[in-house]
Amino acid sequence: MTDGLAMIGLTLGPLLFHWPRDKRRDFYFRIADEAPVDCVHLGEVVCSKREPFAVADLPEIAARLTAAGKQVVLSTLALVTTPQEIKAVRDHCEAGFLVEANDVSCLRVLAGRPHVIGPLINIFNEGSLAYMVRFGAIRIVPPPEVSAAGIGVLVAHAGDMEVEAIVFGRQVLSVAARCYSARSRGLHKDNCQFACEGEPDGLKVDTLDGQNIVAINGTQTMSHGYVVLLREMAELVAKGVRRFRLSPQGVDMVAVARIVRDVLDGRIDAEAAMARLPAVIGDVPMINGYMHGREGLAWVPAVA
Amino acid sequence: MSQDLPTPVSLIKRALHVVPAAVLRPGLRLVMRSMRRRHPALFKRLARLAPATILFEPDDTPHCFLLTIAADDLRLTLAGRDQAASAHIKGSLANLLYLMEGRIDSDTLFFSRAVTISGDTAVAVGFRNTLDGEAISLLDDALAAAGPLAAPGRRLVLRVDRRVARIRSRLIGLRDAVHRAAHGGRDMAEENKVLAAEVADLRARIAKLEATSRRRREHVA
Amino acid sequence: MSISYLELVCPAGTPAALRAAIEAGADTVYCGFRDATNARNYPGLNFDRDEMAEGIGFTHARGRKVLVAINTFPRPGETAIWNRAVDDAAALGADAVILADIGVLDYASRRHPELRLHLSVQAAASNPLSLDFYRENFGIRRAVLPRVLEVREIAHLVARMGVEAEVFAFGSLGTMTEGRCILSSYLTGRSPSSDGVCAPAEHVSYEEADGVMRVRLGGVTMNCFRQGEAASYPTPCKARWVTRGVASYIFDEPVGLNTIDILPQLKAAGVTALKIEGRQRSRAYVTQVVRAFRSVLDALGRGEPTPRIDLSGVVEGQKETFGAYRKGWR
Repeated sequence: MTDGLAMIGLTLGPLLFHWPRDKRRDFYFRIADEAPVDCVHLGEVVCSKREPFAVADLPEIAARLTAAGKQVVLSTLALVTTPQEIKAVRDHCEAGFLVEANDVSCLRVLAGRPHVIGPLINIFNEGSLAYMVRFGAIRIVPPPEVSAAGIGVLVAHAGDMEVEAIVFGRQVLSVAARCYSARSRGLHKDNCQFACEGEPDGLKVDTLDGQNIVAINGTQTMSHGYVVLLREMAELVAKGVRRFRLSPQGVDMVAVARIVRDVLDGRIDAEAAMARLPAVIGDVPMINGYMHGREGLAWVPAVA
Repeated sequence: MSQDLPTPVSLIKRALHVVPAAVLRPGLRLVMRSMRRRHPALFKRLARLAPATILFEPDDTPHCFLLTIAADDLRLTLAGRDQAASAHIKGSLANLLYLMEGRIDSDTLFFSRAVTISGDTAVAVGFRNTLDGEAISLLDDALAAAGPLAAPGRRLVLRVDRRVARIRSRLIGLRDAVHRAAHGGRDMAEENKVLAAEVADLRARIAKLEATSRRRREHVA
Repeated sequence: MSISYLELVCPAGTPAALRAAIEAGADTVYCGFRDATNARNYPGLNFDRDEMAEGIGFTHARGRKVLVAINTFPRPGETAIWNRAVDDAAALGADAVILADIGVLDYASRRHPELRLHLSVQAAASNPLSLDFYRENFGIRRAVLPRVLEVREIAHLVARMGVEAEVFAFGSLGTMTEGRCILSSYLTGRSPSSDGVCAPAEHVSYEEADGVMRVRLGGVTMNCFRQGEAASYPTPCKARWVTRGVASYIFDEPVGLNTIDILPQLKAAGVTALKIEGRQRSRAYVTQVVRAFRSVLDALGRGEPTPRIDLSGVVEGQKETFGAYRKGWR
């Protein structure tokens, strides 16, 4: 890749799974110390019942990350329905961090202030993008369905707004009020006993034929395969993308971040990076269908 | 026109068993011609699905029916059960006609497995939606056009007419009853039970009257 | 027309269905253009511009209303198509347009300030703050609420939202938040958000073998139905999946929503309008469902006992539910 890529930012997106408090602390301390990312998202996106775990050590973690020179962004909940959840959104927006909005309600609170539009808000096109620019958004992560061509159009209309593309991790496929982790144990969200805690990477879901393509993560469904867009990064940069996101999974995220940073800094090429990846992610399948304008679970082996 | 002709579903079924293919084929052409005259908008809408073929496979008739949809033409022909087609729609003749009629919800027919589809689902769904988008009664239209069935092969048709007249006299009003049952919400099983009870009662009374009248005759004699 | 107990908003997937809905007693019908601008973009459905003009004329002549659904999200570079749909709906005299995309809402509110804007359920406005956002920035007058709220949550929301509330009262019930589920495009590349389709027919296959009907979406098995077992739509959220070794309807059973017995509670919650789902259903369905709701609403309006209604025949899976309206669904 060319020199300009050293300026490409690398973000660690919000942790979408329910990890125990200690595991989260250890994870973020190691990220602060070792991961070549310049921006880290904290906060609970999936379920307000997990929120206490997500914010328990937040001040300490945020301080450690900031001290390590990393920008801290607070991600909000994706589906806000109760008064308690609304209050939590308001509190996050007043906490003094840059906020990533994942529900439209957050836009109401963030109007006029710099903020990030997360991938779970339906900003698909230049018309909506223009509106969000006027509204004060400084960075946008397009929804997973948007193809490379679509991202190109968005960048062309984004002005000073930064466009960030997710290049690693499970894709969120749906947002719901019902908790499927609880349901898989015969429980409801109200009495869930934190059924999701036993699934650090999400609960595997098969078809009747035994095809493993989807995962359950509390109230969200996700792809089973990890999105891997290492080969596509060059094209996205050529289109004007200046930031990439890694979505945390239960694998060595420091190793993943190092591989991606090496590609961006020109130390290795995309093929060498792809060769290093299986050792880190094991036998989890890789997908990249949406970026190529196809069905999400497809894997297109080489850039056309 | 449809008032003059017998129109129960079972009548059509009987006709399909009885009328030779050589007579049916031109009959189908006439039906389609009549329908094109009566519903030009429907034909235009159906043409959007072109090119496609749909095989209608009634479980209970000797023939299947192939609908060939081209950009400028719609043809309905007889076919065998192994005929290849873009989509296949199967069910009893009655349910297939109800599907065409649109008086019974097609999804209900499908969810309850009364009608099954295979092959190109988009063609089948497109056909169903397009047909449903015009409030026509295919049954009325097909039978309105059936008058001209008399044109070819008069002798054959006269024979059919006599059988048809016999069936009509036994089944007159069945079509209305079938349609009322389809969306009148009446419990036919329950009504049948009541009718059967009445018949049994009447039979018993008649038997008693006959017995009484026999005794009187014997007495007189 | 007398003021209804609740406004009955009914689906018009085709011109014939529109007439059937009006004749069956709908107060309002909703329909879409024949393209990806609406969320029921299925083969054979919807209205070209001429048919829309006729439909609006037919409806207005009978003193009822037409809402035009332009409720999907344009892809990058396609916004002109959606904006033109808004222009045409306004020119044809639609009583309101139903929108979800922020860019289209922005266009409509600026270019057609007199045009009534309704917020589609696909905008997923599930709380007062979201509704404030849409109301303050685009002047929406009504919002269709997501089907994930309990009746008491609806009451709370309606008290705060400052716009009319329209809720789903009957029909197929998706278990995910509308407008925020891409399971269909994950399997087929075609999306409820941008293409207006979920489980599009061209990617669905039904195969019968040994008495078992197997239905696939994008080549992936969604369900198998035994002989005599009722079938359902092949959407991923109504499919049978295996979790922890057990096959089940992990997301939702194939059931249909039917609120005909809780209409007084919905009215008490402050709801203005009831929405019947089903633009992809037949006119026979529309007639049956609309007539049923009309008779119940009229009885409620007169303070009379409501007639007993059985709609189980036209309900998905042939089973009914109150969905999220009752506590315990989550």
